[in-house]
Amino acid sequence: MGRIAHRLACLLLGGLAWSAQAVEGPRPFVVGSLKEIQAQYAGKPLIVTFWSVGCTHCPAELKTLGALKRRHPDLNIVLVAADTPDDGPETRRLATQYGLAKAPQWVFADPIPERLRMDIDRRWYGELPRTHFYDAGHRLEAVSGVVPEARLRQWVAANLR
Amino acid sequence: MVRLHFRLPSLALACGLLLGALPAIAHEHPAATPMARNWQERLAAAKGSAVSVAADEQGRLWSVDMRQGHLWLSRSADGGKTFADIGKVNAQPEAILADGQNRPQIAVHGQIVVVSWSQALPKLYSGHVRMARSEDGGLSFTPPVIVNENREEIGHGFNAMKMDRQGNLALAWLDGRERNAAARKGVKYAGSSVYYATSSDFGKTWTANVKLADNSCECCRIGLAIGPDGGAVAQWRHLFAGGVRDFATAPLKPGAPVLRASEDGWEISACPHHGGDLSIDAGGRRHYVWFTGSAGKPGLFYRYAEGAQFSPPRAFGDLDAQAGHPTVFADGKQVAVVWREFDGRHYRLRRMHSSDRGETWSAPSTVAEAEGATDLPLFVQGAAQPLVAWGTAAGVRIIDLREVP
Repeated sequence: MGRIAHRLACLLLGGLAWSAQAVEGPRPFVVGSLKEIQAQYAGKPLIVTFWSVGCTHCPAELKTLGALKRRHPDLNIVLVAADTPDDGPETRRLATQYGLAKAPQWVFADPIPERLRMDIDRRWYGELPRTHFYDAGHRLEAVSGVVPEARLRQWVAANLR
Repeated sequence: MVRLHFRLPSLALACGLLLGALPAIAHEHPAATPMARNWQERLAAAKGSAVSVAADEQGRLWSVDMRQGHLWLSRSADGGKTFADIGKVNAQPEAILADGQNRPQIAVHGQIVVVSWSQALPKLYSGHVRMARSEDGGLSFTPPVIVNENREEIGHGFNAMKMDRQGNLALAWLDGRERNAAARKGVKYAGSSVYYATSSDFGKTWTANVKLADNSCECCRIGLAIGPDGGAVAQWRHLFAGGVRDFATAPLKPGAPVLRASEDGWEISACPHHGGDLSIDAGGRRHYVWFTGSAGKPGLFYRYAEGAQFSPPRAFGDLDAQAGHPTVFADGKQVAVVWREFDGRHYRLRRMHSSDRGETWSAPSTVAEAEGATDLPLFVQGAAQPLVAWGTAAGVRIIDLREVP
């Protein structure tokens, strides 16, 4: 086998491995998952966006977040889809379209969404999008509905050096 | 027993059914986007999670639920403990929306059975309001008709239907035609609109479609009740100036004024998927219940109204237990309010009661608990008693509030 062929094979294999990784579904979000996410970003500002595939208001915010992520690669964004694990591939495709392919992704994995909402924020009644802003000290500011672009920019300016 | 299949309710799924909020997406090929594919999957749902229950004039209970594109009519011979199938409402299968805020409706009197539902069309978040009628106790139905006179492939859905013993029927739904007409002219239109049709002969003949209001919220169920005079009143989440999604109410009469029914000030750019309910007592007093997520005072509220006079809103429900989906039943001086909470492990139905037309109220109490996922509770359409129908993983449960201490 010539060197070129060998390289080609490596590339192909690498590509396969990469695409296998790319289509891997979002992680199942269960009770305790938010704490895990917070621990992972301890001491760092973080935006957690709850959204869903069918939510008509969500794309506006996700597109803005995607654009902000491009401008500020160190902005920490985590996406949690309030769908089902079956919707995983779609949530991943959609997130990619919004420029958020690299953001960690989770999907609700509980037949009782109230149980997850109580773990996330007792006073969240399911409106989407729902955005959790955590500053470096992880003080929470939660917003239901699309967060205006200006407010997102303002938050980024105030929390990212 | 009708068993329910619950898909984890993805809150925003039904949301756009009237929308056109995303015209760029809506005009693409039906399955071109993840959102559209999601819609296609929903169209192909094998079962609906919503079971709708009505009582006839003798108090017998009837239900409809969706299986494989058919609405099935069932009847109970034991007060709602079990239901036995009678037959299909629609002979030809079609995509029927039957969960959460968007669910089939049923009304029964004697041998007359009227069923209405939202048929989903291939284009993203589009549909027709459909109706079929039986005069032989559901053994046979007329072929389904499309209720919305506007036949564009846009949103028509979230139908609510009520009937009284005199044969007055009211059917109200959310309709995207105004929004679509505005879009054609390049004009922005906030939300959807509320349309209705009424009948005074048990659904044999109907009025033309009438617009009740512009600028409704797009995906909350409509509260609908018929008063002692046979006239119906609707309550819906409205889109007020500044993106405030509070409630409005109006009688189903051409030219009737639209009144603001709540002053919560919930400014939100989202679909709350959380409609309210109303009931009208024998004296014509209207009893309203609703949810708001307003930052200042979120939660569930009750108030009554006579004409344009509204009582102060009264808060109820445990805000820290996901209190939601309230429903109300007024009969004489008695008023019952039921809602759903989640205690961290189980869903429970909570109840409060008034014996003086809503002036004073009992403390809340738990009337039922359920394992697993549940539907939202609703008072049984047409029942003379406070019967609550609650879809649970084990089937639809009928709870007679008179029998619960």
